[in-house]
Amino acid sequence: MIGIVVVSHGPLAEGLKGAAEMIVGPQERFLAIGMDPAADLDSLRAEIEAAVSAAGAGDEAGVLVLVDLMGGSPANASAYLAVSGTPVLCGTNLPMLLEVLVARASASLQELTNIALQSAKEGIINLTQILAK
Amino acid sequence: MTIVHMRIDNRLIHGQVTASWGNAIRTDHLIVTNDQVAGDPIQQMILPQAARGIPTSVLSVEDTLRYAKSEKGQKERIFVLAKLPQDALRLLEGGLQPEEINVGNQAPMPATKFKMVTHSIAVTAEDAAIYRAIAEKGYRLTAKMMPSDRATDFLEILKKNKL
Repeated sequence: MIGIVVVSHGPLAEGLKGAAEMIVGPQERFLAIGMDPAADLDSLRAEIEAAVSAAGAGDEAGVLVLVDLMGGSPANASAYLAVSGTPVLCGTNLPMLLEVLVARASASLQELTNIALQSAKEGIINLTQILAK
Repeated sequence: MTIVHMRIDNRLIHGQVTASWGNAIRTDHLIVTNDQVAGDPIQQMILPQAARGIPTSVLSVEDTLRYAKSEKGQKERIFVLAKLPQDALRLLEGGLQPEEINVGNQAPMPATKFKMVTHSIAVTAEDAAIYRAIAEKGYRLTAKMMPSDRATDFLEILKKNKL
């Protein structure tokens, strides 16, 4: 099964993890890292890379890294992983995370990446507009 | 040459810089200055991406000075992001005259004797001496997290922390 590591500024990653598990139940190979405001980029990078190793340990399926914000430190610290081939996606939201958690047992890493990118966009909906129809 | 802003931040380009400072400061060109970062091909790739639309260069201290003094650099409003206080001081010694200097984040370095003077700025005794040397050049160093925050005098913060 593909491992998932969510990385954010502050408690967002932990919050997303908690919210997702409230909906789809407790998950394995699913880790959250919240960056401390005083974190140094190198130690953040080491923390993310350790989490990726842990989430993918003993399974060939690979790991998907989901970060909150392109251009933020969690994304910048994940750049080394991205360059070495690990999929790192920015702009993580709950719809994306849920789709990924549900699909990861059977999808390939490439398929899961596509699912994540699509569901993140499709999850943004103007409810007021829908109900007004 | 107009250096509209110099920020000292060892987290380089990140959410705060791109989301708030990039908008608040009218700049043509963001230059990240640090010799080691300039020599890292991955940082060279990621940082311009992270800047989301602001033209960005990642240069050594020497190259930053050379660029700022070049014909092209002379015409621009440059935002300099110095990784470390040492980088900032070397830039000033090399002739840069920023309109303002702000200390952003300085994450503590493992195995150094530092004090957290704000929740995101770690300062060692060596750093404090460098910040003072910067101030002695006639600059008021501030510590502002966001552009709209009240500017706190950074030397006062150091004094309060007995640094």
